[in-house]
Parts: sequence; C-alpha cells; structure tokens
Amino acid sequence: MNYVPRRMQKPITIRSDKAAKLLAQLTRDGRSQVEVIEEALAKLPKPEARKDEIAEFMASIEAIVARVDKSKIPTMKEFDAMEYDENGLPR
Amino acid sequence: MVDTSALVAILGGEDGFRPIAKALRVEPLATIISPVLVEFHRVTNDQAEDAQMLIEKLVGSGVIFNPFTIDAAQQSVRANPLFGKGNKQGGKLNLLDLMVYGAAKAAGYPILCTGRDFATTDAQIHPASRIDYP
Repeated sequence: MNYVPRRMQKPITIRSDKAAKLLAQLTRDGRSQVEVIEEALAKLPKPEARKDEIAEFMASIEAIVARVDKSKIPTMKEFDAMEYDENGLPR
Repeated sequence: MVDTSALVAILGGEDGFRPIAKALRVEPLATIISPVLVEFHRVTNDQAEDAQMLIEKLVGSGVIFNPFTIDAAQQSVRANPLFGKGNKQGGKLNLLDLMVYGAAKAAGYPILCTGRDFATTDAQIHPASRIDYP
C-alpha cells in the first residue's frame, strides 16, 4: 500500500551482499525491491513491547493525566455538538 | 487507527483510558492522522500544554503520525453515503469521523475510539476501545 508518496517516505540503507543477492532473486518476477522487503518484513512476528517500557509509558501517561484540569476538557459528545451541525459538517 | 475520542479519553482520564493508552504503546503500527491531531488540540484548547505533553510522549513512544492521503480520502468518500451524518440513512459519522474511517480502511487497521459511532459501521474496532461510552 503506497499511500504516502514514495519520495516522502523514510529511506533505509543497508550493506549486505547476502541480502542483495536474495533481493535480486526475489525481484526476478518483476516485483520491486520495496514490495519484496515490505512483504518480508510484514511476515516477521513483531516483538512485543517490554513490560518495563510499558510500565514507564503508563507512568508517564498517569503523570500527565494527573496534571489535567478535567473540568476544562469537554467530552467528545459535547465537543461534537458544539463543532458539527446535524449533517456532520463543521458549524 | 486512533480517533480523537481515544486521545481525549486519555487526557481527560475518562473511565477505561488505561487500556486505550496501553494500546498506543503496544501496537507497533498505532497511527494518528494529521486531522485528528488538529481536532484533538481544538477539543483540549483550554489544556493546551498538557495536550502537547501527551502528543510529545506518543511521538517519543513510536506512535506513527501520518498525513491524510488520497487513498484515505477515497475511502471516506465511499463511506459518506453509507455512514455519513445527514445522509438520511441514519449515518452517525461527522466529517472528521469519516476521515478516520477512511484512513483506517485504507491502511487495513482497526479504529481505537470511544463511543458507539464507529461501531455502527463496518469498520474494525480495536478491542481496547470503549464503545459503551456515550
């Protein structure tokens, strides 16, 4: 799925004869190197975030939430009623 | 695909905000589109500093921030007669909701949200979402 122009996407560069050889083989059917690499990476299992990283993240979030004056934040229902008309368009 | 309602739920410390926040950290492809960022800052205008802190934390934690793309727009346009508000079909989605729906469809991701509106569509809803929230 190429939904951001390729020129605006993040470049990656690797140096590997082995990878280059495999990539050459896998693109013989006409697929681009990008397609092959994206498909291969998508198939690999994603590592789970470490528990300590999650705990640190959640502690940071809790600290931010504790600072907030909740009375000054409308609910989405309240905001939607103020911001959008009966046709779902901005007022 | 993160809806504004999920971010507002976190910052507002709403019931069920912790699973939503955790999902943003553990989902490797958690994505926020630019229009959601704008709407989030409008909702939280009176708590702008805290809202910015939250966004900076998400940026630092690997949440992906993407533009609203032509693929997403096309999906939103297709969804409008089906799910758009004011279409006389009982649709629930406002303009921004349609954009989130379109971006989620284009990417093939579930929507992380609160409220029932997206649940009335054919969108996948992330399990950490709070769809019982009014």
